[in-house]
Amino acid sequence: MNSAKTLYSILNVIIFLLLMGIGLGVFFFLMLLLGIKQDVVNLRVDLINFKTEAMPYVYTVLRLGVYVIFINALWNLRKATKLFLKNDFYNYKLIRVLEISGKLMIISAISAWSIDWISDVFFKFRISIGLSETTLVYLFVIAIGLFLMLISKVLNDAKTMKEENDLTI
Amino acid sequence: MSIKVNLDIVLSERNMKSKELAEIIGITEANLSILKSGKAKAIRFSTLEAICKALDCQPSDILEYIQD
Repeated sequence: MNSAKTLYSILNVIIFLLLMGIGLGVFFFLMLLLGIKQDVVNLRVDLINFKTEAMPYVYTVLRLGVYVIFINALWNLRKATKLFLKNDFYNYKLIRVLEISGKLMIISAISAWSIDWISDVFFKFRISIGLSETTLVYLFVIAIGLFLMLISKVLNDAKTMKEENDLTI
Repeated sequence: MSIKVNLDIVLSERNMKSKELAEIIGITEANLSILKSGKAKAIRFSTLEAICKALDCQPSDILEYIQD
């Protein structure tokens, strides 16, 4: 199962990079908030008109929440890939983690899309009409999430059929 | 369970052991045990035919419908 091994490796890399990205993001955001100057990394800050002082914190926490949900989705997908590598297709745990991963991907994509839309309209005073690259990415993640849930259901039905077949004398 | 398997009764009447029957009809003892205990979900006609042939009986001797 070379494709499963490759997927497992890719997921490990993505999860590691995302976790590193979140860590660095939080670190540099705190530096910005505390007014600590640094010359290590050049940060590009979009002109966002936050209405109150609490808004940047709320916005950052919401964004972090979405990333955490997405990392959780990838983590579950990683668990599923590990079970695929063991050829353990009719395991209840595999069915469950695939379903959870799919649902979390959908939740993270919809949440990120909503946050982007709200920040565009209320903070940047910008309305985008039409399909942008970001919208396509969110739609793709939702499609992947739905596909994972479908695979989970298919494996569940297959498990039921296998059990019935095993108990057919 | 609605369908009761009376294989034990027929085996004792014929003085035959489960192991012997399993060997004759070509299934494992474990599968025969699943059938006897009522845990089986289904039985193939070929298996039923083989059991009836080995025990010289009718399907109704082995299978009994019990209303819940």
